[in-house]
Amino acid sequence: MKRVILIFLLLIPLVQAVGVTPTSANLNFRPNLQTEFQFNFFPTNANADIEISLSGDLAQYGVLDKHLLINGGTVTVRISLPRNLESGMHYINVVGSERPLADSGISAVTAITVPVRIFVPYEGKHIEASLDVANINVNEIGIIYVKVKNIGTEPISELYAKISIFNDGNELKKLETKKIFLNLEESKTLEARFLSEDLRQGSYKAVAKVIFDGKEENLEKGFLIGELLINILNYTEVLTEHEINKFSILMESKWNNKIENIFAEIKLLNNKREIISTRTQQIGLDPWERKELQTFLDLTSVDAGEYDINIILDYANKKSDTLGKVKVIKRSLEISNIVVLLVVIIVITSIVWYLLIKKKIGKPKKKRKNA
Amino acid sequence: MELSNKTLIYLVSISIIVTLIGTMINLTKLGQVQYLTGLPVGGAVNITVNTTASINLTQGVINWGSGQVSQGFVNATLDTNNDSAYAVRGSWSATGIRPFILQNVGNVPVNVSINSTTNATAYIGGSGPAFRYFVQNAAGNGSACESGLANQTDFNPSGNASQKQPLCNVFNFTLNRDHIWININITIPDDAPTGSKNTTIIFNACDVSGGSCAA
Repeated sequence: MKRVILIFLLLIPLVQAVGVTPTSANLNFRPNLQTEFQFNFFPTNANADIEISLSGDLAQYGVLDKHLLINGGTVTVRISLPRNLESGMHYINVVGSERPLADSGISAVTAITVPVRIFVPYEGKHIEASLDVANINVNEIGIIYVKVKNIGTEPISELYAKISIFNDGNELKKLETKKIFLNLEESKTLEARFLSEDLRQGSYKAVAKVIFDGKEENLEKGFLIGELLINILNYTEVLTEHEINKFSILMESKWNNKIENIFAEIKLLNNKREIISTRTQQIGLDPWERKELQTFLDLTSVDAGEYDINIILDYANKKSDTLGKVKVIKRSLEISNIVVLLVVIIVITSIVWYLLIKKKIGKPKKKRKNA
Repeated sequence: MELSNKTLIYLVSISIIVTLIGTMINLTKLGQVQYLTGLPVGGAVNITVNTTASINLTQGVINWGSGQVSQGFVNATLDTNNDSAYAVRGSWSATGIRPFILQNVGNVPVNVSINSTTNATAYIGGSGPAFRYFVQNAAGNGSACESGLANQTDFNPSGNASQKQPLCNVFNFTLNRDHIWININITIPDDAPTGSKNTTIIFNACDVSGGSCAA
């Protein structure tokens, strides 16, 4: 078979890092608009030459004042837009890339692209809208934000949103924002507030219908309403007799704020009689966080069997009781090195004895020869 | 010599006065205070933090050296394999081989793409060559790539040298979440042309915090 000899050698230039500031630019389209932007490109590690080029679907409408930066520097891109462009987002990308120093092997270089985003509005009345709802707690005031931006070629004379709050498919609240005027390219945020005192802890969904000059846009966003409650999701159910066991409790906060100083008292019960009791260290839970609370249970005097366990969580001047079962199993047999050594000595001694006895018993008696 | 209490008081007083005058002169010269009156001096600090997009290829050498496909095999495979590099069915050595390590050293999350000036056919040649990359968060940098971590992908499958291929859609910049490994996997057929092979790999980054990146 033919033997192949290949060389895979990476010849790397001294610098493989490049940066730029600012990192992007935005421009709203105007027919025949002329403008310019400046960007500062720099090599990160050491001096290096950076090649500058333009790309993107509107690259033909941009002109660079220089195409090579020695040890970095500032580059200016002059933009001259045409009279008409298709609606939507367009780009002129200013690309700064290290000049590869190697001519052979594999060379690796870094490059940075700065997008100049040019937005061309859509013909007629169009908006860009988003919905934002923060999680709250029961009895707090909820605020629903509807962010809108005019991305059309005409101003919007009347814009408002109708919002419904749902839980398990049931519509629980109906809200409406104030009515506003939205000029060309203008962005505004609408607000709708609601009281959560009649809502239970759980998952909810806000559905908004944004109505503007006879047109509609639908949005939806989920959110949570919290209650000062910590649920125990799981705990260690199998323990081992006659040793100290690690015991974990998996908790979940249902509260939209941090809960501090949480600890648990753990009681092991046998026929309702407390046989072991311990207390965990204190920890905190972030909003809606799941976390394990750990401690150790001293079962050195507890035999195998099934026991009741009582976990009392203490937090924010509240106590919650959880009753459950744990199984204490027998210890697996552990053979220490000394035991192994003793067994080996006994076996060897037995073999030696066996051989000695066999030799003694099996030795043929010398027969006297008759003369 | 014995000093009287009175003399001692004089000496201590002179020392205190000299110390106070010296302190005032030093502070005034340093420009830190204008008057030692105890009155607070008003001031305001305005800071503007510019957005900076910057990437650094902190590990940019993958040197497999020279080698050959082993007798009885149709190809050899070289792989940086998430920092546990291997070279099989060939005489290349994987000792000391590491993936490319890319760090986001800016202050915005970036989208990173990669492109190679050649594909497997042009770069290696022969029957069934492969020249691929795949990405992994570097050890101790969980979720460095927040979304769009590239699975094993052929370099430049269309043969278009300028076509950018996705590497990581959102590459984080925060401490311990700012390094990714870019692994290289190469399959060298036994009938590949011999000699040194040339290609350029370009890592391209773009700020994603202000909206979508350029196409």
